[in-house]
Amino acid sequence: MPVPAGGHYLYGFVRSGDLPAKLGEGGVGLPPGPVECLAEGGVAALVTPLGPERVAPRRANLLAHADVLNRAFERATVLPLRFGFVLPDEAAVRHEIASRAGELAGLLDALQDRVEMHLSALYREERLLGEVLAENPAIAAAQRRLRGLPVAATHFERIRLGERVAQAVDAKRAADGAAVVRELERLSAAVAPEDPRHEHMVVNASFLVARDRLDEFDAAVERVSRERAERMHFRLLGPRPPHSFVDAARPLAGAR
Amino acid sequence: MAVAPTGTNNYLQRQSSPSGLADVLNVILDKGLVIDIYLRVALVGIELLTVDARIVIASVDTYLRFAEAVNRMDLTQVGQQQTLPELVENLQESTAKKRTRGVLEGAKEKIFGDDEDEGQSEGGETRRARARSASGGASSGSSRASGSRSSGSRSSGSRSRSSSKS
Repeated sequence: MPVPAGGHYLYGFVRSGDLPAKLGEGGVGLPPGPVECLAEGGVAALVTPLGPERVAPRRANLLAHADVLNRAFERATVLPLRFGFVLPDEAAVRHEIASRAGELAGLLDALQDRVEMHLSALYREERLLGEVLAENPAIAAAQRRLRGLPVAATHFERIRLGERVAQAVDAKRAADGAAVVRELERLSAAVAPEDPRHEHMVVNASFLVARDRLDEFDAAVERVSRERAERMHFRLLGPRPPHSFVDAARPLAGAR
Repeated sequence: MAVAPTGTNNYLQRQSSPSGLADVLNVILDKGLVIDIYLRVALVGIELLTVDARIVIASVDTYLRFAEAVNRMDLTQVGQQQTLPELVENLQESTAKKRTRGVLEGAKEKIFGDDEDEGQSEGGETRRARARSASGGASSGSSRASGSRSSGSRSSGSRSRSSSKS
């Protein structure tokens, strides 16, 4: 369904009064449009009034969406929207806020002084495959048998070997990933695990962390990753807006 | 090589902001609040990209990659895992890594030669592991030439030599 031109592009919601009404340029659009904070009752929407053009999912617009949210997040509790929502006009924005005021206010309370930290970890490949071979004699035997044989003649056997390796990796991932999450869970208000995005990925999860526990969380990540340094390498991204924790259906541990 | 210097490490990378479009896409396309009453910008191409990234893990391509990777593995590393300094060295000096692999491949060929050795592989693994520690790992670039996998025939002499080591 085509999106009509014009309207108000939405980034997310904040509490009324946390941010000024005008937030400068840097929004979506070409040239970058003005970012405004449109208050309705206790909740305000971050918006850019669009000109006649349509917002396309181009690089500049995607980055602008994230950038507006990140800048708001530095000064306020923010509920991020996904990219790409446009309402027809200001009245529709106000109606959207009013019609879900309770839900939005509840989320703003629950997420106050909390940030999202994203942790991912990849297995180091040689170590991972070494473990798989050591722990699965049948896979090691198949590997030895296929080793000198021509690739073309053993295509399907190789697929089966790879599938067994993938299954072994899955089992390791489940155990290793859960162990990492367990160690960090007690420092977090909530955890949002995600599917692995890479075949060597062992951890891929967002943690909702209170600002005053960030040092503690960081130290725990340092320890957890150092203990596993030979097997995995980690990346810790954040603090960032709570993208993964604004789903009202996801319970927040200790939410107020 | 010594362990990585204090202050930096090769096991944890910290980033306060997303490092590129991929990081941004990961959060703003399918995480966050939604509005269900109006219209969303057409995202067809981008959504396909993210879906592809998710399903690729359980695919024949992945299996073939795993099979190839596991076939590249030298069994000497099994039961004798690399130490951290070795890993650091491997990560930082790819040429050294190639050399190491060349030596290991060469050693394997010398010891195993061809398929007739499969029956004694269990003992062979420990022999190879010993042979590797005895030779002190990667030392000579000249073994690289002998690391070629294609020839399985230059075996028996080397094999007996390595047996005598163990």
